[in-house]
Amino acid sequence: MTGRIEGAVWVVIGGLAATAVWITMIAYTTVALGLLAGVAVCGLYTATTRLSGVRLPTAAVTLSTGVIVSTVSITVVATRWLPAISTAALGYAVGILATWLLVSGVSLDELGSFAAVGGLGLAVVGGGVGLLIVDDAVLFLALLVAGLAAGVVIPLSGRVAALFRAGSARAADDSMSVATRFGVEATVIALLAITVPFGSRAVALFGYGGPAGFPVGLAGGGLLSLGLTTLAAGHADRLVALRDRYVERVSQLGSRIRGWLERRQGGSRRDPEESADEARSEEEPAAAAGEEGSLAAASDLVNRAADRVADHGLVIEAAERLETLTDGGPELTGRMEAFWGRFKGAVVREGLTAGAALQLSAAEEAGREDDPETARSRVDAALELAAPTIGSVAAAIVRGRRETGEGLLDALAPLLARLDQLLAEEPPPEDPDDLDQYQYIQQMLERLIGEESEGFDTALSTIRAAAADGWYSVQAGDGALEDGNYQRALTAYVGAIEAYRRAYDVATDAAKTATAERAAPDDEPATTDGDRTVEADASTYAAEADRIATALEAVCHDTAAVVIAAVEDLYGAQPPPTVDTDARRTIIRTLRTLRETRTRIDATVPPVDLADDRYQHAEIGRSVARLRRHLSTADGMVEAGNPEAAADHYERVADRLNVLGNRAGTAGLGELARRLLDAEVAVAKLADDPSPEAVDERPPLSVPETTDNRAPEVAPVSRRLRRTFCDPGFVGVWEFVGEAADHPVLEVAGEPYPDLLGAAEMALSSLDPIYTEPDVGALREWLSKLSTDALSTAVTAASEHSRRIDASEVAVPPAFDEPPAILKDASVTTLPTAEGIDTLAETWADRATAVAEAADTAERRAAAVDGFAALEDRLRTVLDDRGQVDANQLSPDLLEVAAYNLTGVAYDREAGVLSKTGEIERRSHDEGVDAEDGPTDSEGGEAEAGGVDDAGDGTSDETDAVDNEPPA
Amino acid sequence: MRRRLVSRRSLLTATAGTAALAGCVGGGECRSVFDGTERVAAGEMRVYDAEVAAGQRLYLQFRRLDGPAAAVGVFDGADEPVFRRQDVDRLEEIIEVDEPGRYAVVTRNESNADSGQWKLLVAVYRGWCTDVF
Repeated sequence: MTGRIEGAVWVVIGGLAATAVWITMIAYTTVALGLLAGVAVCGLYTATTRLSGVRLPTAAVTLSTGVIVSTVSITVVATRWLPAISTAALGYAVGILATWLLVSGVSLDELGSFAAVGGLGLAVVGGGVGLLIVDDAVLFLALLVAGLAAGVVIPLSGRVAALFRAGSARAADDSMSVATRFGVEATVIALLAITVPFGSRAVALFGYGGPAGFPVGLAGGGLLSLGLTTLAAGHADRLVALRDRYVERVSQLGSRIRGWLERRQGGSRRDPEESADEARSEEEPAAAAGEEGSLAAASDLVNRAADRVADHGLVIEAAERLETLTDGGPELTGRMEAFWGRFKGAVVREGLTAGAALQLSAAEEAGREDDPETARSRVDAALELAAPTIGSVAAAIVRGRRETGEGLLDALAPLLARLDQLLAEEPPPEDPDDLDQYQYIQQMLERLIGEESEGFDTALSTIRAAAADGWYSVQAGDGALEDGNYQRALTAYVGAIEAYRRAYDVATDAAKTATAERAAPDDEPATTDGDRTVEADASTYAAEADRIATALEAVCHDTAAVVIAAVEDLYGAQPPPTVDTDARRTIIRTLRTLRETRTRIDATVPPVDLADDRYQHAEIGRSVARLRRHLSTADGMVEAGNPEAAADHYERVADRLNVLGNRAGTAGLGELARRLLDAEVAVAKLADDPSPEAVDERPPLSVPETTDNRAPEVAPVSRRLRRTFCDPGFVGVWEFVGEAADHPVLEVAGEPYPDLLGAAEMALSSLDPIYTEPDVGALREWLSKLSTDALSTAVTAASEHSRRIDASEVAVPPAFDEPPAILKDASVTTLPTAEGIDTLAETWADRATAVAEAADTAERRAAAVDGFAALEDRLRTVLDDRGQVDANQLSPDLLEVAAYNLTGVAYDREAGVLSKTGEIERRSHDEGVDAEDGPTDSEGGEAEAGGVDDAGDGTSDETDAVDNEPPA
Repeated sequence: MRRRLVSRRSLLTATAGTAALAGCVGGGECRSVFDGTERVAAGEMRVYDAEVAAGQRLYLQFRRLDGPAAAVGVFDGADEPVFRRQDVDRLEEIIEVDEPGRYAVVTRNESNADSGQWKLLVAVYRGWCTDVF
């Protein structure tokens, strides 16, 4: 076997051994050490039997011996001690240097005696001084002895090996000079003096496994290297051939790469116009085909979307609309109609789509006015309005493409189609405890990034996607908070913080990289797309980082408030000895995340400290509750007459109380610390004298309730984010739709308004305040249309009730017949849309409330009139039998209608009681009498003017009690 | 000039890759809970809380600088002692943690008269940890 092959084999052995050591190091460190020793043993064997010459074998033998000595020493020392570096290094260095000098000195002729004397001196003086100054004399001596041994073994190994080989392989011309030998030995000695002390400490601190692993590794290493060398020796010729082929391939590859590089450099110097023309001619047919293809795909998707539920279809609608917007003109109305007509019957969806469409129009407007930033925000808003989840992913991609104007809108349809496909493959997780859901947008984005061609800023996209994940987590948390589930809320908020942290990290890294690239403009830029650099400049990333940091601060603020509430909820005023472990872990994790995040963004968020204090206080309270159990056990022992055992218990409790008191003191909970230390004194006294009387005198062990009653308001995080980032106009619109969606007038108006406004509220709530900046004007237009429609429908519905009263055959009291004023006001549905949203909201709310009340009154009255017509006979029977009917049995309105229509009854409105006063008859309402009051009563009969006058004054609403008793 | 087959950039990339791999494989955690000197009055004690996960190690290094020796103890999350030693002048100890929880390291001055000045390092780690080394 030639020397080179041998060398190559050893390189392979080295590589394999290094890999094996690397892998075993983490799991079983002593096996790794054994492996090294095994390889070294084989090296020793190879060096003495196979290598020719003197220098190389001597060096190999010395080195191998060094490795063996070193690994054995490290294993022994690390198993027995946790060595201090100074002690170990001193002991070993003194030992190894002393004997090495001694051995070397003995074998040299001239200066040798000096070296030998020096070695002896070093051993004596170094050993003595070392013993005086080190802390651990045993360790020092052990390493001194190990060093002494190594100092003998290392220099001797080379010489002994040379002796073995002296007769056979020694070449006359390859003798070894003293200096070379000395150099080799010095190198190995120095290596040992470093590796043994440092290595043994490292293994003791970080290693795993006992000394039993060493022989296993030794065997493994030996087998590995011996096996390989034997194998190689047997196949040397083939290996030589293999090497030749390999070298040839490598040189071929090298020349190919060189050629390619040269061509590339030459090519880039060509005329840029030429290459551009070339590219264009290639692209044109492809683009035409692509456009046709994407349009076909989009229309296909629209058809499919119609069959599918929910929002995906809507997005495709939005996408198609976008496309028509860009290549058509501004004939908005016609297309709006076509757009609306798609989903006939689904009014709710139409309403939402209208919102998205208005945002798109605003985006188009901004695009025309050459304001790309606003256009992008509007498109963001439209996408999110149309479909929250995949809209956000699309928004992230759009952001990464960094295109403006028409280019921005052009590619949306295929993108959304692809997203739809992805969504079908992997729907979003629905399990609220699944932590993966908090990274869903990012995961979708990652799947898409690979498909994006050149000219794509991954960093901007990733920031946007991570922030979108953050926002969805915030919403999940808000939802959980609304349900009062603090643990789930905290989990979601932590998810949000982590997502924003990812965004922040990407933004700060990108900003740093961009700054560095600007500082070194000579380097070729990382990615370019034509003459436009794809990566944004540092200031853009810095602005992103600032924005995310602000969001993080807001989230931390409210999350800390939730932690405080969660701690109070979990622990109460007097914490129990055990609490729900999961909930506790969630709190701990949240607090840790909050502290880390606060440091990362370098912000002051006071509630975090407060939350920390509360948690500490509660945890200490919990420990105290456990101690109370120990105390009662000890009290029991005292009663049972076992004071010694009790004293032991008391002592331990006192110890623990002291620990807790100090912990409270460290956490800045002074009052609690004082109380605990007082308790400790009391219990310690008890330990000295555990008598039943003393037990009775001992004050009860309890934790004072926290004196710090500050509790930041527990509020949904989205509220703060919205207030921080959104245009006040948007907040106004959002608050308006929130109020409107819950307003009772929607029930009056009936379907689809409650759903429609509810969905609109949901859509607005899900707009990510950090990125989407919707066009407030368009939103207002949309919502005022929705709310005005609701209001006018409600007015129609209320008037319907009034008409029902008019049409009734029963005579109605004049007040009943008068429809509420608001319903007669024609201007009720004309809202001041031109003024600010506040005025609009206020006016709408006032009118809506009035309309709702009017509708309620009208409905009640209509029901009373209908009810009287149906129940008159029964009512008479009951009055005959019992003499009276009260408002619990029939509605006051019905009683009033009855009083108006019957004689021989009296109605006390205040008490709500209709009582019999004489013979009950149907009262007839003369047309002439009632004419001025309006009601017409076709029922004839004798007129009883007294009763009519009484009720017919039109003052009945103001009169507290009206006696409808007719004159006898 | 002849182009080098192995460029500095590729060497740098390879180095960075190896370092990253090393970081991934050996990637440990390392967190100092307390590192400093404290003066503890007679009869008093100090408590250092460390949140330790299963598989991590708790590292203690104690040195008396002045005054009396200390009693050092470690309590686990259920307040059971896992390590206790008295009259400690110097100490270096590793505690392998199987049960996760909040561990308390307690140093106590058991003397009645003198205050002690002690240097202490409490760290929690897994894998390589420079502070401990």
